[in-house]
Amino acid sequence: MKQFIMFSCLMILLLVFPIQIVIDRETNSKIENLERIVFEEGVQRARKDGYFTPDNITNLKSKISSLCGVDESRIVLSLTTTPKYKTLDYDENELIHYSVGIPIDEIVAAPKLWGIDPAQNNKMHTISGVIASELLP
Amino acid sequence: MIWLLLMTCITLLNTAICIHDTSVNTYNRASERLKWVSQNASYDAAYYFDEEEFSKGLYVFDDVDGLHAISNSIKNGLNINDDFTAPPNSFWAGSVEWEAWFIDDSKTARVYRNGVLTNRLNTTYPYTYIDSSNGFTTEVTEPTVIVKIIPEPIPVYTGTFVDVDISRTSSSELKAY
Repeated sequence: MKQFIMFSCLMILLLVFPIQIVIDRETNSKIENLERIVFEEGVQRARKDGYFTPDNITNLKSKISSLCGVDESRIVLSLTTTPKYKTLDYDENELIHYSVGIPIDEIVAAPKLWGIDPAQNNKMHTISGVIASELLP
Repeated sequence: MIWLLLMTCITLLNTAICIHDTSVNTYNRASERLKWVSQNASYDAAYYFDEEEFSKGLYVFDDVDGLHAISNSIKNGLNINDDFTAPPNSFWAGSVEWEAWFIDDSKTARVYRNGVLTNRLNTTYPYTYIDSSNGFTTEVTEPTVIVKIIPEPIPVYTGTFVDVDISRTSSSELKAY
């Protein structure tokens, strides 16, 4: 009986590991998708347009939502929405800024088992940066 | 007793697999992020050119503005401090170094390391740029800016003390101007 109880407890403990691997893969996939959407599409389009156009922002939100599995209302965006122009000399005032964040809801599997408060078992993953504009004045 | 030993072994093995998995994911993400940041830095730097030379029909990069663009792009893209050191709790460790090559119609290649001119080479098109550390190779036939970001190595296999060079290089070539 003692062995059975011990075996059961260890089995429960061992189940956490595969779940953790799945959570890690899922988190990684979300972040990879976010970076690909932002850098490959959103940022390059903003570079050509000179700013993040409403159409570009809508497209960004919908792609992030569908590929990262995050509700559009939970995506945190801070983007340059006024035109910036290509200058002959480097001018920091004419750079396009972007910051895109998505919530990662579960970092550790079975947080209570490790004494982690479930309310703290999440984070906001944000990518940000600046790019020069290609838009001619 | 044998069950206990067996379960302990399985637990340890699972822990090792979890750590390895996380390390590899982290390495891949870091490598990917460096690719985007170096690409954007080289794009940004290629925008700035010497107007006087341009009036003579030559495209010669404005190194000063280009270097500003590269350093700002790297700092903002990797979220590091102004002195290129990683802030506390950052993914990056230590300091991040970078190298920039400006190859243009002036028939020279200027090589900068962390913004300081380290080499000036006489070049003609086509010029083959080979980075032996990460295998990046490109054939330069038009004015080109090449940016290499060299962060401190991060442990790919946590706990095994195997550090891997994670540097990434990107180039931006002006095809028509």
